[in-house]
Amino acid sequence: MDNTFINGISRRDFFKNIGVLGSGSLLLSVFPWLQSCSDDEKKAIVKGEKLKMAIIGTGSRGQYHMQNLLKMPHVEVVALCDNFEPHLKQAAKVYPQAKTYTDYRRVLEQNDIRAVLIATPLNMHEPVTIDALQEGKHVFCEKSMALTPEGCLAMYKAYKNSGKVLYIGQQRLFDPKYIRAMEIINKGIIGEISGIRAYWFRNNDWRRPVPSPEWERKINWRLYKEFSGGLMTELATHQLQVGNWAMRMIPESVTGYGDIVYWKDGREVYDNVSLIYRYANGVKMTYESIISNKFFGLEEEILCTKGTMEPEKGKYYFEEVQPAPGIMQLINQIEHGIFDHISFAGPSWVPETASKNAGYFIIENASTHTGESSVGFADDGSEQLLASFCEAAVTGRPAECLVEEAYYSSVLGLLGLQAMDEQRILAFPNEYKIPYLNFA
Amino acid sequence: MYTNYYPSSGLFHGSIPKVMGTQLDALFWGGNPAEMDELWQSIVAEVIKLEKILNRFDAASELRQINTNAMLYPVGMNDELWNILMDCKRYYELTEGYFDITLGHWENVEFDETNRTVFFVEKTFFDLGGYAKGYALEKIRLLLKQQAVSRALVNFGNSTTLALGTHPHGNYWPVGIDNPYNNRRMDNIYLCDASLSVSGNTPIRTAHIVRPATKEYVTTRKMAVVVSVYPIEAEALTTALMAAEISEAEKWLNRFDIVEYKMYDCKAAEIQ
Repeated sequence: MDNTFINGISRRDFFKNIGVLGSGSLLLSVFPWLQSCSDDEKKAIVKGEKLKMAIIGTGSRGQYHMQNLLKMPHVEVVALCDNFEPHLKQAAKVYPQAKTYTDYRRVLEQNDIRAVLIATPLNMHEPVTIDALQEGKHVFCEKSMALTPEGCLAMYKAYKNSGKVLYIGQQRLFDPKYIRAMEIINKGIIGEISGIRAYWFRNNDWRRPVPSPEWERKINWRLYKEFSGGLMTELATHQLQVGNWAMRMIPESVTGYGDIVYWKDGREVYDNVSLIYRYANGVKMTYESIISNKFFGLEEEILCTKGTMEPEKGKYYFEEVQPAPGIMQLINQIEHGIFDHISFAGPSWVPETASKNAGYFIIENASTHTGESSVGFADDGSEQLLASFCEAAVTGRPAECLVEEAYYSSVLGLLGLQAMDEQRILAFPNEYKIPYLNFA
Repeated sequence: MYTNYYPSSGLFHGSIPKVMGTQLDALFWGGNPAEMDELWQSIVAEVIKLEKILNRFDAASELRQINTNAMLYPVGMNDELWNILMDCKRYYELTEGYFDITLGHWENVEFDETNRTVFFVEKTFFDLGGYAKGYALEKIRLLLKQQAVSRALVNFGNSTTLALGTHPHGNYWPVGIDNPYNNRRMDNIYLCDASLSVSGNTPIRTAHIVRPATKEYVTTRKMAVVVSVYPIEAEALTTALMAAEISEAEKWLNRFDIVEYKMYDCKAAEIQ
């Protein structure tokens, strides 16, 4: 049986790492976007014609994805597009055979190109994605979706009307430790969710070096409102999605404050935000991002009645009880139909060891990071996300629920921004509700 | 306390964080969630009741009353504790002194079977550390049987495990045993309607079992394993096996109806 992702990542290893080998169907009913194509389809993909792809936006994130695409032999990057020449030249060194463009519309005219990867500044996500879908291309677009809720909705509608594949770069949806964390929550192992505290702290000016002043807005686009929503669109969307994923609900209202507290260097976006998202059952998700102190790093602390989940750190904790070593592993195996030896017998446990709440690892050897990089991290799900997109682009089958997850996290980030700008409590507007979860 | 019910597999998991100096985890199947929760509550009540009787470190425990006062006067006790002490006396005799709750001072103990009292002729104390968890598991085994639970795994501090029936996806409960000195797997034990007890030294607890004949602590890097239908037997005999040389133990092991026993040399990581 062929058990590989087409980029060579073993699907068996992927699920084994999550600890759910042998029960794919159970997992896939909860996380439908992980559904892969059939074995026959995989063989056909590997043997078939290469997927011709264009990269639109060849900055740091675009180049990060290109490195992952190099590992996928069935993908051929045939076009590179950027209107900033230094980035285009850097990308051309990675894919010297690819044609280079400065206008994305010329790329979309190429009939042999079946898929595009969009890693432009945020303000361009909406027009490029919609144009690409309308040209019949499959699209992978970086998060957030768009600069405005209207733009997100327009992208969503274009996707639904096109029948094409759209992926948004919410890589946590493919991160093994997140998948397992959500399963732990879903099964009630740490009880019911009482609250979520999400935050992302850094201590830097979030600036890139600028060769000359006229390039300031082009390179540091994240700092200017015409291109970006700042912390809410570049960082918060990842974490708001985690909150919704755990809750299986979309918040109904948001309020908060945003200010430029420390980096008063001409930027237009907040460097200090604090918000409260409220779900219909009264649970709140707080969100904080400050970029003049990094001590706490980043986390989505999911506070439950029997325990606490810290997925960024790859750990979870029980409130008062630490089930004996091996017992949680045994339960996980039983739940997934696995019969295996687990070590738990041995000389008596020393009480001092038992009383420490060091927590459990969500999965073994989980990859974690500090959140300081603005580009990307190893083993954070990005590679699996991209591999899944390439598979879907060949089969032409959209991934279930993936766009909906991304849509709501993007819109919630933007509504948070609006709530801070207007300093009011903002209810989720009906016109931006798409059929999903509690808004179905 | 911690509990969780897994609807997909019908599994109930209950955990007591600190009892008898360690932790108890119980996994069992049978009945609806409310019935299983009720059974779990009765298990919790039983184990907590036993701790109040048997914990020598608890100033209010009955055992502590004996340890404190038996040198001053013959101390009486409830029937359950009396029966436990009589059972320990039986194990002391059958193991030729290697199972010894006085840690080498048995000659100081005088039992009055008519009045059901105990008196220490010299300074002595009872330590049920090598017995109490097995006894608690036996009580749990009976509670599970009363409720017609036929599949369960109850782990008491890792050192004593009760297994009823089989793993839901296999023909037995597979249990791995690791060498505490290098955390490498030493052996696999297969349990079905049986109890497993493990006793040994660890890098943190380098010596805690006394060899009665010399009254010295056993410091050898070894581990004893006993599988028996009865958790008390498994626990009592691992303690005795740790205190004895294997050649000595072989003289009395056949007096017990055990499923199997094993000794491990943790230094060499080989089965003797």
